[in-house]
Amino acid sequence: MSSFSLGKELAGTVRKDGAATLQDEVAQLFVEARDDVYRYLLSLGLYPPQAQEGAQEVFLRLYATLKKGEKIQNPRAWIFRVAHNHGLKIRSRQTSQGPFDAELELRIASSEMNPEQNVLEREQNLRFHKAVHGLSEQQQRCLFLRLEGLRYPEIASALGISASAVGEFLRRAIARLKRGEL
Amino acid sequence: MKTLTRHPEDHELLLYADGELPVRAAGRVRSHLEACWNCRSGLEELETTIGDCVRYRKDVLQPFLPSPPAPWMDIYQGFQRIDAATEPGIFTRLSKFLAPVKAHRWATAAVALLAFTALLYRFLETPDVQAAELLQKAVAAAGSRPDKPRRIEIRTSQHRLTRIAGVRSAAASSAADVDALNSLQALFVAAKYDWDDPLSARSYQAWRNQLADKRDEVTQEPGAYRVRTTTGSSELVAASLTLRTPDLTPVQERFEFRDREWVEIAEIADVSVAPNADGSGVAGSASPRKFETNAAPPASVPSMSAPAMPAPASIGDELHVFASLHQIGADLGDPIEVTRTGGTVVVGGVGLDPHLRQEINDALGNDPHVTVRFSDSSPPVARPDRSVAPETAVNPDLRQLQARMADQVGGRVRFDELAAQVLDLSDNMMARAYALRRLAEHFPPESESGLSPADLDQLQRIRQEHAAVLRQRAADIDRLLRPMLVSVTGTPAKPSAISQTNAEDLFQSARQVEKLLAMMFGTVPGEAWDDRLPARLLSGITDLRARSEAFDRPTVSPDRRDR
Repeated sequence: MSSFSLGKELAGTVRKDGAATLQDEVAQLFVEARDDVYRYLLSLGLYPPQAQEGAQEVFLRLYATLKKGEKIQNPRAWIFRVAHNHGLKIRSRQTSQGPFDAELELRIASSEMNPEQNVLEREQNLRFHKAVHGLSEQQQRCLFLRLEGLRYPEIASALGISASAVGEFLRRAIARLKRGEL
Repeated sequence: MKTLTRHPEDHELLLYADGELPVRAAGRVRSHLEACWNCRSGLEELETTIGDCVRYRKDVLQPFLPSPPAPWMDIYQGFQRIDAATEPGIFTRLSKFLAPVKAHRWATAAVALLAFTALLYRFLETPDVQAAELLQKAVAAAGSRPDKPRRIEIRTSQHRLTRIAGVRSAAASSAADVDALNSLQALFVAAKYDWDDPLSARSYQAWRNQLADKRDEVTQEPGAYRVRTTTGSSELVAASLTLRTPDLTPVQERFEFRDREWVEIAEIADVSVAPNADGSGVAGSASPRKFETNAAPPASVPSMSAPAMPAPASIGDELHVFASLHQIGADLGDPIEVTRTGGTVVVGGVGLDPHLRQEINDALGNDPHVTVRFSDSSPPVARPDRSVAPETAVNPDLRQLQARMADQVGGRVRFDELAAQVLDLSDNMMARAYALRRLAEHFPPESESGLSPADLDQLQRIRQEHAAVLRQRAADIDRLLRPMLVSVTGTPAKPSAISQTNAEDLFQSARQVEKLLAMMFGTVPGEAWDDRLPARLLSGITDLRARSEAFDRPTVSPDRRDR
């Protein structure tokens, strides 16, 4: 049997399942948030294949957790918290940290990659990127998680620090970015 | 409310901007900001930096970080694995079976377990349905069908055209159509996508194969596969192709270009149309073929031959659409347009939540009289912010009035809570008022002769449900505010003597109350403020309650349906 036709059968089997609602909800969230989780895992220093695998794993864990009947107040915050912990675990097994920045700088500066931007915009983007890169690891994490829409207590829970510490990390990050410090 | 006697620290401003300050502290900072240009300017700088961060995420991180190296997994297969792993029945049964231990039974069990494991492994390790493989099969399937031109409808944000696919050129019926087709052709040529035959697996495959980077997603929908490809290396940044399941015939396509232009193409059912002598197609007004989800076409019938077109959509069909939307709660303020045009009821919307889209598709997708069409070309319309904006300077007289009312209800905190509660009720009420007005616009009394008795009953039921909620919300607002307003104005409003009203009058009355509430609680600048505001609000609420009670009340005969 070809993989195509078997895949068709598989998909049909799954979708006919009576308990499809939970699956559909998690699948919907997967489609909406997987790229954000993937990027967050890249920002932690994972290589792209590990980041993608990790992102997928997080949504499967969400499904398994919900299936057990556990209540999750804010699934998006939960996903990022689990992604953070899972990402750090994967990173600790990597022999080196993923090149989050090196290639990115080249891409930002490349006129071929982003021809619609003028020189000034490219320079601004590069400068801002370098400023973000200059933030401490905790400042970066707080900033990235805040950009994903997490509130202070949710970031605090993900990073294992207090909400007031999150506020302080964010304040310092914003102050440095405002001054354009590299 | 007390104001800060000192300037807020940077961290307080950030907490304030992020909504992380407790209500009282936020109120103090807000009051300080109203008075202090320095701090307001500081807050603006802070917001600018936050805006820079958001742009950085959108313009740098999203486009420039490396794309996932492989297609995303079919998450449903992962669910299946989890379900299988957590299924208790098999192991329970197995342990029962193995309970009376005997050698020969152990051996049998081991063989059975081995066979089961092998089967499970084969089942789980099956490769995902890949876009490339699916396209290859679709191309092969197309090659086995008679090669005849097909008529397609092309929709963009500004145009709706038809043409013949599979020919070198396409004539149009007007100069405007020619221009539109030419500009579309230019878009497709720039994206290296075959314009001559855009609705084909071969063209999609050719475009996809030449992309330097790409990401695919294959999903199964009822009766169809959908391949979606996104890329950063083409003017065409995303395309999706829907293939009918039985024979992999392309039936729909959507293209999203870098400049945010979008194009949708669908096959049209019209067997009578043939290309002109020069091989060109003509623009016309034929309707797009409804996507057939379950019907497998006979092998001998060419792909352009379609089942007989359904009868044009009637006002009853339009009502069924409203009833379906009502059933899933999609008639309460979501930007969904319903229009009956060209013999079909078109349900469309821009920037809708994907989950809601899916619900609407599920509810209406199989109705042959309905075309569901959504677009992402604009961001969703933001709901007005009901919180008091720090930049909004509150009129001193209004502030004084609010202070008096706050005293009446037990303090500023209670007043703020009351304001939030009432504004929520008002939102809820207005959703119903809009829904009623929309029903009245689509189904005016003169159109009701086209509805069957069952449809009329259905229409009446929807109206009554909206009216009942509106009535309840108006009563809730009245109950919460009347004591406070009476104590401030000193005179209760006279009851309104309204025995009959229609949807438009009811809407206007609700709208008036909504506006006055917004002014009263300072969510809009109070230019129109005057000291009669509490009395006007009280009178408005009284009028609204009377109208909501009178709405849809039968007065002449049971058959008469009031708007």
